[in-house]
Parts: sequence; structure tokens; C-alpha cells
Amino acid sequence: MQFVSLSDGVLHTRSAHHLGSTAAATFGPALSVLNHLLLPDGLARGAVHEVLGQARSLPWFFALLLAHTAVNSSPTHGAIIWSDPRGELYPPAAAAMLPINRLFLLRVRKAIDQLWALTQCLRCKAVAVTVATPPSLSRLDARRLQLAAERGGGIGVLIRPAAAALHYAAATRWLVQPAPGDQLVQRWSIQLIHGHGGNIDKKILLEVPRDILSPNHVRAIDPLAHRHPPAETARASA
Amino acid sequence: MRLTHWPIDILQRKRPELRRDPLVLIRSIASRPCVAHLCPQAAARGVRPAMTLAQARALCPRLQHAPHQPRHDQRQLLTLSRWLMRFTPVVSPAPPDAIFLDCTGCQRLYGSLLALRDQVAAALAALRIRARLAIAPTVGAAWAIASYTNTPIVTSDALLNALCPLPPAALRLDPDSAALLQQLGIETIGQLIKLARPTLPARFGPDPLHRLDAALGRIHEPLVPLPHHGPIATSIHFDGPIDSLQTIQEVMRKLVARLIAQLARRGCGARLLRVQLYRMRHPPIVKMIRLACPTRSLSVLFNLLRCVLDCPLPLCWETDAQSEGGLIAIRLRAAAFEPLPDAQGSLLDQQDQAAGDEWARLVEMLAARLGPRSLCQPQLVQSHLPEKAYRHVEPTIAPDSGASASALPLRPLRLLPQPAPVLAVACPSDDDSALPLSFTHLGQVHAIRYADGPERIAGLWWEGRDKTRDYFDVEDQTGQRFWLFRVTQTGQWYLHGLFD
Repeated sequence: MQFVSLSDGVLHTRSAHHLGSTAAATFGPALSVLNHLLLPDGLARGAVHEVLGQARSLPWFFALLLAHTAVNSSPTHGAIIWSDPRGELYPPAAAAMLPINRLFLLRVRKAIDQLWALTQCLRCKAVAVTVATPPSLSRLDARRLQLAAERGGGIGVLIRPAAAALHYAAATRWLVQPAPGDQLVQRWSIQLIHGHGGNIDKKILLEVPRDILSPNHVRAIDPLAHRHPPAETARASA
Repeated sequence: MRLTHWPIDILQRKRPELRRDPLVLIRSIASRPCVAHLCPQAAARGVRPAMTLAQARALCPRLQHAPHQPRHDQRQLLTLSRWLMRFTPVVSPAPPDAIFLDCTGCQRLYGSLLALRDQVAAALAALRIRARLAIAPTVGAAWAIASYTNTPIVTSDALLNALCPLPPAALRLDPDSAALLQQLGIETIGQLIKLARPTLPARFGPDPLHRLDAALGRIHEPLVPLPHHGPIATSIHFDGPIDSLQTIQEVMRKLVARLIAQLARRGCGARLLRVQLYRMRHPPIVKMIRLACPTRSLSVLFNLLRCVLDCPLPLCWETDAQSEGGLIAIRLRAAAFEPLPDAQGSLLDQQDQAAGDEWARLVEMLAARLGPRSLCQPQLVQSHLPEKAYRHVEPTIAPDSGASASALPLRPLRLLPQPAPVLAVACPSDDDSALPLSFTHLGQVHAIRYADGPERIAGLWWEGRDKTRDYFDVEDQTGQRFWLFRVTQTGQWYLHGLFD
């Protein structure tokens, strides 16, 4: 259903799902436990979110999960742009969680061009999610990206090494570290380190089965309720 | 001008290897391939039009054949007509194989009409197009004389004498009238002229009399000239080198406005813009801007040009101080343009339309500043080799919705473009399925806690690449997960992906 309104001599049309619902301003909860424990209000749209990790092991999977959640809850069928300057994203794996026909890869090597391209992508209203591993950001760059996201209304997910991410203007920041898994699941430790109304510094564990990559099989658990397996059973076996 | 072997010439220009042996063009009549056009070599061997291909091959064993494409020939005729506009301004193609050039008043440029004819003939011979040319006072007479005689030029006084011995078919009559005239024993135009004028329309229809009068110049036969289209381009030359970016942008805005006025006159929108920035003592900077859809919007074109200006100018600015840099001229040309229909605005889907427009602008801007390959779209491909299971295609303009692919084997999210060699320690084993215990990558030792495998992936042995890989899904003591493989033939270990 469409609503037509007239204000200041300009005709506006809006879809029914755009009116009177707060769901458009935030997205989630794909992982209800994650939201419940860390960020009850959900992640904001029209904002940049940062995923921090180790320099050698940047948390791509968590960024993919955020992108998946944002795309699924988006009212429009916007594009997903993944900035991949080195050509490392493996589209067949990403296709398990993102619609491949809306996934676009941005291949820009120069840092200054990459920042410009990211700003343009975030500013575009037809882009639902922009995922990037940006070069080092100054305070001005970070603010510029945030303003672009506010203009475009989409989500920006920045994957950054925690040690180098000094300046930020993101709505939320997540620290993601690999955690020892077991023979069946791979684990990450997730910690919200910045976000209004969030449960800062609380750690939870994200579990993904080793044999299947699907959003339906991702599990978030409270580490207090989880007991690590004894170290001596950890030897590899065929 | 009659192009005697036009379809053959066109094909032989495109494929010169067909010049060696006799060539025929065929078309299917009642599921049988029949000869439609033939080259003189084939005609000399006895091949005739309307013969079946089998009969033609029986006469000429080395006969080559190709399908006849009348529409393509017609398009090419139009192209040749445009090319011939360099000789005379009024050129009118007459499909299937004739072109009329109105050379009234052109003799002063070439010395004489004969010199003009010789120049056109030489130009066509250089293009290896066989043609018969004749100059006559009327269109009909020119066609008749070019088709049936070798006379290069006929004046008004000699027109009647030149036409009289020609057959009536030289008047471009329809085949039925020509056949009827032949049945009645009227074999020349002279005999036709001697018949009583009022009887001609009654017995043969209005066509022969009309054609006869047109050929003799009694009535006027107009030519339909090809419209003359110059390039859509505009340029500006400065008095001296200009190095102020603000000035250049202002000039660029004016140039775009001029270009848009030219586009609007033709009802077209630009699809490809070519910008040439001329510098003092340096080669010009040439940039191409490709547009997703035809447009003549000032803001869209100017914004794209600004993206281009941001990129190359700092390069020439740096050299300015020493070498009198700056721009001395700018040229802007619409290298490709298409008709731009007036779009019907939609009342209810304005947001979707606006989003679609924004997406097109984004793709164009990225391509203009960063190159056409900066944004691409992955497409899954059926292949058992991990690195060949996708390819990159050009992004479509509107991201559409649809179901995603599923049921894929588990693969890492990060796949290194080139597998990185690693040093690995594996369990001693008699067979090839030894699990790795640890590996060293970039100077860091990863002790493996869990390992799963091997998943054996064979190489493309039919292409000569017969290396077989045994893949292992491993996790180290910190919880990092890797995708390693060992080449079974060499025993070398590689890191191919990360499950980050």
C-alpha cells in the first residue's frame, strides 16, 4: 500500500512499511541472544558500525553476519557493496549468507580512492550495506563516512585491526577474536566496546558449525553457561 | 553508381580469406540452399543465381559459400553512402545496390565532372568495391546508363540517343511490366518511345510512362538525401595556460551546456563522453566517460566530468611551476549517443525510481574516476576447482531481488588470490592422508589443534594441469581456522584460505 501526501507543494509517496514503524531505524535481531545480551535496541541504520579484530585475522565472518542481518531486515532491495582491494573475498562462500545477485565487489587499491569510493557508496540510497576494510582513518575521514551513511540511510560495516583503529565515528564498535573451538564448531569471542545503551565489555561466544555455513546455524551463547572442553582431548584426529 | 557485386564485396572486405576461391551467397528456399549472389569467378564456372548449392558445387568443386544477409548489406550501403558524402553533399542510397550522388555544381571543385567520376571510381577501387559509374542529367538515366553501358558521362543533348538502344528494364520497371513488354516484342526504349503515349498507361499501368518521363527529364524525380550529421562536440581554446581548477570547472560547465544543446537538437542523450585536455608541451589527457543510460542532464554530466577532473589534474599541476603547465584547450565530444525518449514519470514508485537513478549515477561515477573495472559483480560458475567457481561480470544497472545460491560445499570466506607456500609438519603416514600437526606462515608457527580432511581436488588433467590437491580444514591453538592443501605429487604445502 502507498500513502500520498502533499507538503510545501511537493508530492511525497511512501510505502506502508515506511510509516510509523521504528523497525526502519534499526535492524535485527537475527541473533536474539546477541541482541539481548549486548545491544537491546538493535543496530542503527544510516550509521557506520566497526568490527575490530587482530591484524592477521580480521573478523570477516562477523561482518558478513551483520551484512546478512541488515539485508534481511531492509525494507528495500538495495545493493551490497563489499570493498575488496586484494580480491580475497570468496563469493561462493559469501553467497551462503548474502544474495549473490545483489553483491558487488569494489576493487580499488589506492587508499585515497578507496575512501572516496566508500563515501560515494555510503551516500547512495540504492546501497543497503557497504562492507569495507578501510585504510587507516583520520578523525575527519571517519566522520565523513558516518555523515555519508546518514545521508544514504544504509549500513556501513568497517573491518579494522583493533591496534590501528584510533579514530572512529561509528555508532557501535565490536571486538571480535577467535576463540578455541572444538571438533564440531568454530568459535569467536564477541565484545561490544562502544554503543549507546549496550552492555559494554560483556563477552559472548559466537558458534558456527564446521561443516555448514548458514545463517540458521549460527549460535550466540553466554560464556558463563559454556564450559570449555578439557585441553587433553584437543588433539587432532582423522 | 551501381555496385555490381555489393553483397560479395562486403563479405570479402570483412573476411579477406574468401577472395581466394569462388564464393556464393546462399539463401534457403523451401529448406533448400539456393544461390542468391555469386562472384565473377563462380559465374565463369557456370554457376547461376537460383541454382541449388549442390548443383553449384557440382560445377565448381572449390566453391565457398556463406549465408546472404540482406539487412546487413543495406546497413553497409548506408555506411558507404555516408562515406561518399566527402565527394558531394547530396547522397542518396537506393537499396539494394545503387547509390545516387548529386554532383550538380561540384565540377568546379574537381576540374570537371569526369575528374570527379574518376576520383570516386579510384576511391571505390581502393576499397575493393566493384562498381559501375555514370553521370547523366536525370536519376533514371544515370541508373540505366551505369547498369547497361560503359559510357562515363552523358550530356542533356545526347540523352535520348543514349537511352534509345537500352532495354526497357533499364528504366527500373517492375518485373511484370518488363516481362510483358518483352513478350510484346518491345526490346528497346526507343521502341517504347514510339508507342502512342495514351496507350501506355492503359496497357502497362502508370509505371513505364512515369519512369520514361523521369529518365528523359520531362518530370522531376527528387532524390532523398541522407541527413548530414556532424559530430556532437564542442571545444574551447584559452589564450594562455589555465591552471585554476575553479576556472576549468566553470568552463567545463559551459561546454557541457553547449553539448547538451546539440544533443537536444537531435533528441539524443550521451552514452559515451570523450574529454581531451590539451596541455602545453605535453600530450593531451584523454578520458572516456561511459554512461549507464543516455542522458543530457547538466548536473549528471558535470558531476561525472568533475570526477574525471579530480583525477588527472594534480599530475599536470605538479609540473606547472617548471614547465608552464596548465590547460590550453579542452575538447568535449559525445562519442556515442542514443535517442532519448521522454520518460513517463510514475506517481507511486518515485522512491524506487530515485534509488534506481542513484544507483546508475554511482556506477557511472566509480567507472569515470576509478576505471570500468573498479566495480564488478561476482557470478557463480559450475567448477570443482575453488578458484574457478566464480567469475566477475560487469555490474547490472539495477540490483534486482532474487533468491541466493545455496547448498554449496563449505569454503572459506577469504580465499587468497595466490596460494601461499607454508612449511608444515605432518603425521608420519604410509598413505597420502597424513594430517598436518603444525605449519609456519609469515614467520609465525601455528600448532594445529583440530584438522579435518583430506578433501581431494584433482587438477584439470585434460588441460595438462594434473596436480592433485589434498585440502585440510585446520584450527590452531588460538582458534584461527585455515584451509591448507598439499600437492600430492610434490608434497609441498600451501595456505589457500582463511575462515576468519
